[in-house]
Amino acid sequence: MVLEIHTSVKGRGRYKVEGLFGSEYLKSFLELRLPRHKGISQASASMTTGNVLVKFNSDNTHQSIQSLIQGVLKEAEENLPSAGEFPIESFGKEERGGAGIRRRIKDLLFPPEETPPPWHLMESEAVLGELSTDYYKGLNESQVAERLKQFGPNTLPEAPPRSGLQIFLGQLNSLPVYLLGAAAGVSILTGGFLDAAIIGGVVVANAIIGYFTESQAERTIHSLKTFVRPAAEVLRDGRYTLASAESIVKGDVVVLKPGVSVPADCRIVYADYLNIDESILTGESLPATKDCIPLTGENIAVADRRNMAFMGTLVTGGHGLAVVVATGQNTEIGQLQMLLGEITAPETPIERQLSKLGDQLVLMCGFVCGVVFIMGFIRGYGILQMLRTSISLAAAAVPEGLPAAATINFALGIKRMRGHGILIRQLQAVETLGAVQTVCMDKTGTITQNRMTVQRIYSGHLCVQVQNDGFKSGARNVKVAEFEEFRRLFDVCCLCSESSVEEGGGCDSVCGSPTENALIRMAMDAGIDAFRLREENERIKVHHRSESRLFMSTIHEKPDGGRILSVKGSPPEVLAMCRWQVIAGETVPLTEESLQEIETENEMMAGDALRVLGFAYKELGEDSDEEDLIDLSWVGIVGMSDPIREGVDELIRVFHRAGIDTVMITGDQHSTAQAVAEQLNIAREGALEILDSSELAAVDPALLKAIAKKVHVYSRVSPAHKLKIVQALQSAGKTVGMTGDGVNDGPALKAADIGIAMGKSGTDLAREVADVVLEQDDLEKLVLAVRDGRAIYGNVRKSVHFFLSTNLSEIMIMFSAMAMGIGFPLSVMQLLWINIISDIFPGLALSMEEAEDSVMDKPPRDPQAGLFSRDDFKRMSFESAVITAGALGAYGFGLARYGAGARAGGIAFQALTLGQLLHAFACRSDEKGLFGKNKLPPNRYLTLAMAVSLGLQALTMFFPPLRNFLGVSRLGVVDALVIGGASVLPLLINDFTKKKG
Amino acid sequence: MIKNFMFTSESVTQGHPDKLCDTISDAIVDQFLYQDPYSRIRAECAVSSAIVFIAARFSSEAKVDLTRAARKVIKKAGYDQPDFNESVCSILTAPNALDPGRRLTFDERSLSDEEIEKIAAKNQVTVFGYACDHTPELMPLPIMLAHRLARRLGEVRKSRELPYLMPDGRVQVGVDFRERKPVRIHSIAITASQKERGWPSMEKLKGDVREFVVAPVFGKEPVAPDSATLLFVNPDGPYMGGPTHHSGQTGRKSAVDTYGEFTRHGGKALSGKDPIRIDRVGAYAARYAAKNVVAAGLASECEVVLSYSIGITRPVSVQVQAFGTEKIPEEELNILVNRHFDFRLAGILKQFDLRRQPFDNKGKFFQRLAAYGHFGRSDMDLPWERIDKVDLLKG
Repeated sequence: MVLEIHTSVKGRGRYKVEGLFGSEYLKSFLELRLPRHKGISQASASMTTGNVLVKFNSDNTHQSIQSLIQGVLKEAEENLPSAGEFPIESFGKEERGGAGIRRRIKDLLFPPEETPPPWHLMESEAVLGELSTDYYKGLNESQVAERLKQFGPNTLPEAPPRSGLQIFLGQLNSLPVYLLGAAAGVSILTGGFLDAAIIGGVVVANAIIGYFTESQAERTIHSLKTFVRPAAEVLRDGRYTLASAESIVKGDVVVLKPGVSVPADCRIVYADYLNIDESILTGESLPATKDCIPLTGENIAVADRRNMAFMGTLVTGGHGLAVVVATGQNTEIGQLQMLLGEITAPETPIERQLSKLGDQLVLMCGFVCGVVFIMGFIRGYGILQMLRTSISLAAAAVPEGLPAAATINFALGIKRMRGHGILIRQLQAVETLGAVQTVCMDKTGTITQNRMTVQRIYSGHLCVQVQNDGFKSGARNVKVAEFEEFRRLFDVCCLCSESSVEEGGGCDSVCGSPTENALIRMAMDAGIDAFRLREENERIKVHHRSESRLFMSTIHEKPDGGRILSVKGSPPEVLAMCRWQVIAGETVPLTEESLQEIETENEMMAGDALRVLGFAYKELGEDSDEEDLIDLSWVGIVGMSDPIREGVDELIRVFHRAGIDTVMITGDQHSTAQAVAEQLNIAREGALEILDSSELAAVDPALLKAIAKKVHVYSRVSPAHKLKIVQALQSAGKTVGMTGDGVNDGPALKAADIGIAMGKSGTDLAREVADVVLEQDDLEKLVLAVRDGRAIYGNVRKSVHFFLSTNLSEIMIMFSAMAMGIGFPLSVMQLLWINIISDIFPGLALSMEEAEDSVMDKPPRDPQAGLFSRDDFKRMSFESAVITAGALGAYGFGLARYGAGARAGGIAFQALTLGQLLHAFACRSDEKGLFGKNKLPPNRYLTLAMAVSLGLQALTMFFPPLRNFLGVSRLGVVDALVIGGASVLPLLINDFTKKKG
Repeated sequence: MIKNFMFTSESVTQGHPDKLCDTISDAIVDQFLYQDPYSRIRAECAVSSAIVFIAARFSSEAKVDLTRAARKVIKKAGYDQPDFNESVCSILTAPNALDPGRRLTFDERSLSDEEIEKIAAKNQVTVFGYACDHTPELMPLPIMLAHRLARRLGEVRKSRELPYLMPDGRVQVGVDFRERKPVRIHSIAITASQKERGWPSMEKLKGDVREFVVAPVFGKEPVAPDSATLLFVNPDGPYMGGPTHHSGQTGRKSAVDTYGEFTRHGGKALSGKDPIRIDRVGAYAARYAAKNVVAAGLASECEVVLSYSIGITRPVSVQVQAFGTEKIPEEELNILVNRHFDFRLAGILKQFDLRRQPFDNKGKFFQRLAAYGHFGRSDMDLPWERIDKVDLLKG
């Protein structure tokens, strides 16, 4: 059975083949035999999807290919070495007995290394052996060099940048150019060689302008990809080294740890709680748990290969070692990409919309020009003349390069943003930025500075303020180191820590996370020798804080024998493990009252937006490293402040004014989150709603979707759950921006409509999957990015608005003149002139408009809505009609005064061209007029474009050769006045009737 | 008046979702008052599947972590199932902080009578108080039995005598009355939620409940089940309770909080309100008066009804009824009650020291009231349960 899946592209078809799924034999057979048929240029089959993609020439149809495949399938069945022994479906099943036979068939069909052995079924040792590599040493340099030569670099096929010639030729490959070509052809046939030459000139001029703008855009787009250079840690010559992902070869032993993007397809040979996010391949949003145990069975889907790690997937937890088994194009993702044929640069939604719009307009123009032709024919004009007029009208009226208008805008926008320190990594992001409806922000490091300073300590019954000049209780200085409980607290701060301290170094020598640094510095300020303390109490064991265990614990060997367990973490969690407390040097039971007091103190600190940590310890016996965390002694809590970054409150105000909802995500406790949210007024005018959950995954997605629409703050959320938030918001119909910098943020950044990574503090992974990278980690820049995104969208609209309304006026004038039977207001040459002069320069200049100041005072646009609404089209038609009326009026004046002929036509030509040029001013804004307080500041590009265009237009009046060439006669003063009136009046009318904001 | 009838009252365990919400609301009130006795706070709570919703409107100097209060209650109620426990549940809060300047910062303890007179009621409300001589606590028998059984149902789970039970449970007790006196237990229906659907069997569960719950409660009771008493245990089959199976909300169990529908009670929630709310503390004051009347032997049943109006300090009307059990004329009862009881808002606060109870009780006062009734509590020393006006009334 062969089913057609995708046959809409000519010369290419994808077919579902029964039995192909999981069958290496069929895959090889199809790929080898199909291209042997005449007419089939390429065939690739996938065992993972069961599809085969065939490229064929025009002699074949989809039906004929289908039957060809069927024929090959039959052949395959007959050629099965012993059909009874292993039917096609169970080909992968036979392990030992069939291996030899299978290799034989493979050898028959293909050179041996082309089809990979089923690595996931083999023992780790066998994999290492097969690839002649070593678990402890990896490959050596010469092996790497040799294999790199043999298999090529580990890169995925990419769309090659278009050459200059391709871009130039691309300019010629469009419907309007065909029309112009036809016009030229007709001109030659009718002896109008000059006409033909001019039309040729128009085509070339158009193509040159198009070439320059587009090649610049192309350069910008290609530069998007280059600033992340993926690297991987590999074992070579027995040493771990960092190698670029490109240089990785089969047999390399790579290190997998959180944050690593798997550089190639690997077989895992060691795994310790290894978790990998494979959504890129499988669409499964939850990370898959990996191990190194060989699998058994047949037809194991990619998603179920627990001992494999695939190129492009993200390690989200644990660590492991893996042997590379496939690189580059031979990886699963490489195969997938080949199948999808998706190696051309993707079009953005606006570009797609514009090319659709362009096609519709071509049809419409064709129809109108046809009508003009028929009407002229009926009215008795010569067929040839009508043909030339109609074709040149169509050529002039068809708005060429509509999608290019968007591309150029995007490219310019990307460049401008780069100047602000905003790196755009996806062309589409520019467009999406303007449509963002909800921005989710991390608290720590994004909203706050992630610079911790200790503010308050509560230990024993004493609450101490930490200030620059020491520890204070009220106004009194306190020698905290004299209190046993404080000393204990400082000990735990120093011991239960990952920060490093140098011998004899001061506070500056502490190096580690901001929180731990602050704690050690506090202890040093109190007179504790952190270095000596840590030297004397050697650390034996450490248990890091994790999502399910909100505290860290360490065990140390004391100098006087015995061991000590130090714990620091979320106050409620630590408190729950305590049975004792240290008060006035005595270890006493932790009473209900004390518990209540400590909790109240914690809430007070958290309510003041402090990050609070609780501390406890326990004396252990010698050699004891018990993990049973009970009966600890409580020593106190410490509150640290993490100041809000400057400008964030302003940022949030701006977002709110721009109709963008803000959401804060934090791992902090509820009270801290609430205090910060209130400080920033993150809830806008509405009531603040906070979702406090460490188990977002457990919330019913439908419920979360309903809740997500209202929630402003998520507290106690781990980064891994940010994906859930993004998905919930998206399913509620929001366009979501999400900030992130860590490894665990990867999936959420990828899923968000706009993933925003921090350039400095962010991990490579975060930067790699993000759409937008803020180079200086300054969130305020996001406002600029959104503003630019909106402005760019607006500018595309302005350019297209101008193109459409002016071109429509050309059609209208010719059509109405023909309908009224008053001859041709415009000659062929004049139409072509208008096409160059009035269209291109002002249109380009409009795409350089500055953002209007009101752009951030409006709600985001509806991402589902089209570029123009029905009302917009009506408005454009109205404007065209006004311009047409002006030019027709002038023509009427000419007819009345001079009779039909070149003079009247010349007046119409000047009036229309000037009217169109001036219309650019009306297109600058949908809501701002030319006059009054609210008028826009001048756009110097438009002024320049206008000067050039008007100058050229003046030449048509004052440069006799050109005047003759265009068939324009000399104009009198009265004519000039009429032309002036007929071109300025429409602008005034269009401005006056504008709905002003 | 009908004198022979059967009457059923209901109580639920602390883990019942409605009660869970009441307790969370009152735990929040406790936390606020613990830190700042002048706090104004109104907390409402709902729970459904694994999400707790808390809406709190407050003006206070206190800093309260709404979620922590809630999580502690959930833990204490005994929820430790994987699908609902204090750490897995998500909490949606809507904290609405108002200006602390809106608090009423008078210290009622040092107010003179004139000053008390100036502090008027802020709500338009009628509240009810009741007492009768069915039990030593002077409460109607059906609700007291229901409370005792519900409490016991919670205890056998906590003590692991019946470890398979979930914290969610409901008890209904039907009592036969002759001449308005309880004479026998007509029926008992107990809904005990269990962790696993198939374990234990219905027979074992019924036997266990009879042996460990019903029997100990009625040990010393004068009115106890007889051979004809009907006992239903999970009449609808095995029951898996908790918020994952049915939702809960603050203020939906006002009959359980009061007199088990044996008499009139206010329909408004008592839980989640600070003591400035006259609809809460007025009910306490009315019960105080009614209980003292019965304790003084002036009637064997007494209902006190107070109607407050905005801007007026004293209740606009005070009605005392004895349903024909009075030993002195009802008019005189009315006069005595009016003379000896202070029903003014600040007066009630001063008398019961309500704003400082949470601090005096280590942060746990109102939340303890939330389950097993606000009245007739023998496990707490509640100021409105004192019978210290008996001598004055006997006069």
